[in-house]
Amino acid sequence: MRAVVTALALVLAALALPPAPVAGASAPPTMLLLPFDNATGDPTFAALERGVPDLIGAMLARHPGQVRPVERERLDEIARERSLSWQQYVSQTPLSRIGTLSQARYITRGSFTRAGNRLLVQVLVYETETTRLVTSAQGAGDAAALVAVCEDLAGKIARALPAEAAAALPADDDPERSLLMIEGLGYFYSAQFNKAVPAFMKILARHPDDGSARYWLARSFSEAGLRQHAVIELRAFLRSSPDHVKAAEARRLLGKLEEGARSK
Amino acid sequence: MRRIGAPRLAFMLCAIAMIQVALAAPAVAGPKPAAEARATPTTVAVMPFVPRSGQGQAWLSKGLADLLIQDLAQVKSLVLVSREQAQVFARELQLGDSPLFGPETALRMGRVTKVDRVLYGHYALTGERIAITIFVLDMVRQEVIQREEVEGPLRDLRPLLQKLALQFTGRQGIELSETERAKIRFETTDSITATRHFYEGLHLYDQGRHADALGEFAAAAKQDPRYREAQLWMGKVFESLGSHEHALVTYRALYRDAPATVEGMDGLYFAGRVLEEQLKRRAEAIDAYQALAKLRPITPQVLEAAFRLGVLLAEEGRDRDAYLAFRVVDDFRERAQKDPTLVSQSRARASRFLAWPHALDLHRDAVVRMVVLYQRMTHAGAGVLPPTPRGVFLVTPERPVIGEPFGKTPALFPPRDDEGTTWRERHYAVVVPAGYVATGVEMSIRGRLVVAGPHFEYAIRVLDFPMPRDPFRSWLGVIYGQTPQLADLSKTISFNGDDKRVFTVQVFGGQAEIERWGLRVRLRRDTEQVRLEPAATPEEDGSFWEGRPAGRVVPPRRVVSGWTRPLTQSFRGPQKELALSDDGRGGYVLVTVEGELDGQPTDLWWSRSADGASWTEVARLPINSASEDYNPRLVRAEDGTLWLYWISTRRGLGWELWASSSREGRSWSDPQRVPLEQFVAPPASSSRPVSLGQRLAEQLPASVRDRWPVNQVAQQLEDRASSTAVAPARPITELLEYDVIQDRRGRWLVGFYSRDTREMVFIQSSDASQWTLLSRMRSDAVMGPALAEDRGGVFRLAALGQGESVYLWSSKDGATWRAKSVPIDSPYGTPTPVHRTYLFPLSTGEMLLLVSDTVMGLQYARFQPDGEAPKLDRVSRAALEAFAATPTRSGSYLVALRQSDEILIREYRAFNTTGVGVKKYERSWPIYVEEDRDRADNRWRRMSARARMIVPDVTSVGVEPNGRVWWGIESGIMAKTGEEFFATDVSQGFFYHYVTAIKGCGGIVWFTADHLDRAVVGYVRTGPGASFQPRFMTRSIPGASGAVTAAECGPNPGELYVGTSRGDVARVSAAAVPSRWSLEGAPRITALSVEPRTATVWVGTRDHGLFHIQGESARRVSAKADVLDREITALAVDSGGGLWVALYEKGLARKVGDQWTAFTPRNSSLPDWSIGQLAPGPGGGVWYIAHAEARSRGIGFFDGTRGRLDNPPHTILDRPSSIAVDARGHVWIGTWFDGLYELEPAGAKK
Repeated sequence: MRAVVTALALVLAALALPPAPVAGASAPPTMLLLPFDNATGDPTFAALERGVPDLIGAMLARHPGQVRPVERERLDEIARERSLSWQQYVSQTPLSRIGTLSQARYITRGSFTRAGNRLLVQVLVYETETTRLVTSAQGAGDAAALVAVCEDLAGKIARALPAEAAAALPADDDPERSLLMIEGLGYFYSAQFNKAVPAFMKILARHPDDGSARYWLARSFSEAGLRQHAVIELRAFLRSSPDHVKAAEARRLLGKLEEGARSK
Repeated sequence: MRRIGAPRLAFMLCAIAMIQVALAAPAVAGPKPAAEARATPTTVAVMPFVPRSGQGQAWLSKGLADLLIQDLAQVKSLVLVSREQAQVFARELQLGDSPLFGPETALRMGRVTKVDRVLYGHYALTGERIAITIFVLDMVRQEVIQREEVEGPLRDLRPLLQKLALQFTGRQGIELSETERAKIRFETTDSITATRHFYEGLHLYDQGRHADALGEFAAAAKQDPRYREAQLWMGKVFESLGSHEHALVTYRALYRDAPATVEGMDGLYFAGRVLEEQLKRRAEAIDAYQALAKLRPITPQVLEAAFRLGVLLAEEGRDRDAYLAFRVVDDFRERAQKDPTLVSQSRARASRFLAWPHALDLHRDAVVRMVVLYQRMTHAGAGVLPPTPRGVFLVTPERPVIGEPFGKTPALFPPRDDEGTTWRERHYAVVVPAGYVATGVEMSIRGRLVVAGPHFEYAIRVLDFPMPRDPFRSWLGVIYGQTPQLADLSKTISFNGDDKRVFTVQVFGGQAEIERWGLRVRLRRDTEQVRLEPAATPEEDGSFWEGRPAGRVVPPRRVVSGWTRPLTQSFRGPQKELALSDDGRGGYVLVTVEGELDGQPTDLWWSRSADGASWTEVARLPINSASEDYNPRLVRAEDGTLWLYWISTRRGLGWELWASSSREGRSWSDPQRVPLEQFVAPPASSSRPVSLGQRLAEQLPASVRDRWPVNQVAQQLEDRASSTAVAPARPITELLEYDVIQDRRGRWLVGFYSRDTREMVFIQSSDASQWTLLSRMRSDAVMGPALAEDRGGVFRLAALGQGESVYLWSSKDGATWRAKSVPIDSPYGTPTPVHRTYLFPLSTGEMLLLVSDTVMGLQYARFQPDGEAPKLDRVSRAALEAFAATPTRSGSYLVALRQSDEILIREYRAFNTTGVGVKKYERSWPIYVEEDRDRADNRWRRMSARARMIVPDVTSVGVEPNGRVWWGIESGIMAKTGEEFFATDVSQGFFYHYVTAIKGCGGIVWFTADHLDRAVVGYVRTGPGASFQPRFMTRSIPGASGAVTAAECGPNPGELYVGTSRGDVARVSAAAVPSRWSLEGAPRITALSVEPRTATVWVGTRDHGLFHIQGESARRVSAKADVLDREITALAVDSGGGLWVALYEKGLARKVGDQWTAFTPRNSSLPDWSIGQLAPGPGGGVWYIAHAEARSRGIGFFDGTRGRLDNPPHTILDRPSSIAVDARGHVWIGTWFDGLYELEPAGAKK
């Protein structure tokens, strides 16, 4: 299970860094991957509710021009505001509304269940404007091979989506940045915060204005118990990236840390 | 007449004697205090451990060494090279992460770290058990002297290392106190996992992977929250990453959580440094330092914080608080000196970053800063002053006197006493009270030599405060005692208008006993309106003259007190400290060395100039190592690239040649080594350190010896003995002698001397990277080799050899050399070793040779390369300092000269004295003469005895009617008549060390000394030319009291009038003292003059005005108004019979008949207010020099109508001491530091 979670974490990074299209070029279609239903009945698999879609999203990101995963932050926020769980929110909200809020052209839903040692994953892709099912796919494999399963599913989805004019994506100016982000997030989600911190610091050493790296560094500090360091980074993050998609969450965390410090 | 050189000219050799005193000092580090020597700790470097087999683990290699360092650092009799320092050295030794185990590497490490012992070892990890072995290499004996082994579970790593440390110290005979044992037993963590994370972190840190290191340190700290060291290192890593806020948070948290631990205190100190230096939050930095400085007991952290606190507070103008902060440092130093257990029994564990030696050494800077602050507070009238700093005398107008039996009063710095050389040295500071300035001092010292000889002396010396880098060449005044008889010596020196509020007194002696010393400080109210005339400027007509100052470069002054050079450094070995080159674009590049070979590591710094005049701020070159970098050479290559060659000890293999290039004149390439060892013939002898391997192997049990690596290493060392064996250890002053040029074909040519094989080796390269051998030439020692390619394409080499010879070799191809050696032909000699030699081809086909040594200074010669031997002669306006030279586009040469605290750039064309109208005496004459004319067509000659070129002082000057000129020098006198020269000193019976007046009175020359404690004069009967048989006599003056303070020739041949400090006047002849008068009120007589026609004697006093003696009567002269209401400083009767009176700060007064006229700059053309000495001109009027307490603006002349100042060309007459006019009207002027001048006014008799 740990291997699954680790693999999942490694891929989350891809979501954090959706490459932006070049100005003037036609943008690839966007896709929101909703959390999957855990049909195993085993709460130890709960991490995969977000992990599997994130993994598929990361794999889809390898198909530039086909689809661009979008952040779930806005929907997260709305669900939280309404004191709803993901499942509750999605079940109560029309897909078209979710699509509008997330500005996604497609929405992916799915579920996973277990058959012996094998994990079965089903994926459904809807077009938000029409709410029609565009495609569905199934995959199965050993739990330790979840990455391969997700990669297979991502390939199927990409092939099934309507062909779009391939958008020219900018070449990554620093490929190592992505790798470091994946590495950092991987360590973060596997609770190895002492290793997550160096990864994010290395990004910031090269790109001091990388808001995502700073946010995750702050989170890593916080989780590692280095709260004062987290406060420093959160403040710096909010100062330099006040409109970042993670800003609201950063403010909440900062408030919590500061309150904790005051109460001491 | 005796010629110089025949007698033992100790008096002339005082400066050289200083050199010899220096040479008599211990071989390496100069005089070392006896107490210090007894307590000298053993210095130890610990190398990273290596696995005995298998891959090993990096964290263990680092960890074992570091843990051992941490344990041994708790032992006060050991000084450990820190892990960080060792890491830098190891990197430069190019050991890699897995250094070869063995004594060869350890030996190299020992050399670069300059330690007494090197500990190295290996470990074997078998499952969960570890076996550790260490070897102790003694650097003096160069052999392994100890081996220790421990074995046990890996989880017991800490106890195992502690056991090893105890075994090591036990076998070294070190008795550990309980405190030290407890500190060794202290465990920073008991978690092997945390330890592993920590040392993984250190390993990553060493590799520059700081972010990864942070993760490991964080993991270590999380594993064991009590592991403070891991937290401290997190702070260090944050700093390295530039995350200063994080570093600050880490340090503060560390102190908050563990204030009583060494890491907590380190943390607070580093918090202060981050706040001060990175975050620029000074107020918070002050708070941090204050909090730490208050902690007790005192620890290194407390001292470091107190020092920084003082610095910050002083910058904020909070003088009193700053003073008290520095006092913490100084007080503790004194207490620790009295009670060393304050340090040795300190309960605080040793910090890895802040150690006792550095913290204690801060006191030198602290003391200097305290004196500056104290002086500042004194003058600011800042209420009640804090206690006077140790070693500081605050004089008052009521009691301006200091005196003490030598060594009784605590000195500024710890005493320098050395039993071996009987060297004793103390420093004090004198602070002048508020509202006053010091204009000079009267110094006195009572002592004797225990061992007679020109190499020894005792002295009192006055210096600026803080002291200059080279106090041996830039003092304000000095008295030397050089006789075995107990003597009271005294002397007055004036600051010549450069008034002081604080100055340094240095009292020292070698092979001497000093009973007491004293000073009377001459104070003047600061609030008085001082009549300072505007400073004169040298005549500048834009014309060239030899030695014209072209620019100056100020080297970095890194610390306040650490600037002063050790005595040995000033005169010992060659100072190859400068390199100079044009940059190919009309500008120049200068490289200078900072640091001392015997002290701080030497580094190369550089400065650039677009025109040779304005130079950029001196900056450290990026190619420096942690070891010594020295002897730079700059060569501009044909493609415009600037190449820097220098020698470095960075690899621990002695001096090696390195190179770096700069294309843009901004950045420099990575240093690359010129592999000289590949071109040196294998030595015949096999006495190599290879035997180390054998000795090591012999010490091991057979079971170990049979296994890798020890026996293999021994074998490897054997195998490599002929190719890469470690060079024998040599004194660091035995520099690599080399030179490098690029020839016209673009080929690089390096010539270097191999001391091992006694040969000069020439190698070549087309790209300064791949080198091949050209030739090897057997030769005795070659010093300062200089290579050049002459106009005909022939390679030339010039160098100095042993036995006072000059090597002049030539080669058409660089491969085959024709050796030639000629005796040094120089009137001054050229003792080796030399600083540097340069060889330049001239357009005439001649070669220009420049050579400078440590005793005689810079000399030059122009010569036909295949013709006669070069005739060396001195270069004007250069002395003993390091130098470098480069040709300019205009055909002249720029010469950089290191003169104490700055580097002067001078321009020369011919190097032969001062240029226009050159006329010199014979080269064999012992007086060095420079001659030039000023714009008014006055002819000037400057003379200095070549043996006194270091300090060409003249204390007084007098002329005989026959034209013979006499002048006093420190401890003796000199004279010359035409081509004849004479000198003697107190060691040969001359009557006193310090002559203040010389009067040639027709057949007898009289000498007086105003600091004698009795009325006595010296004299010598003279005659014309060769009939001169000097026999020096003394004559007491019966009935007269006090010292002779004024003298003048009487109207009869051989007759002298003298005045004393207690108001007595006497007429003296060689046979008797026929007349004596006592002035009313017994005033101090300051001046005498005699009107020859009427035998009227005029007597000037300090505070009783003017007296007139005629016949038996002596009466005071009254004058109208306030004409004579000041101290009379000089008297003269001019050729018209008019009496001239010089008055302190009040110009001149003239009496003609009964008529008095006062002259000042305000009412006449008299140029100066304060006049010190007068001499009547043969054609009327008087010549004068400025008063000793006023700034000199030149030699003055005034006749009541016309007044003027004359100066030697291109300079202002500096600090004149005395004046005399001969029968031809030539004016002779003695100066305190610039030799003797002769002014031949335009139109004067030849």
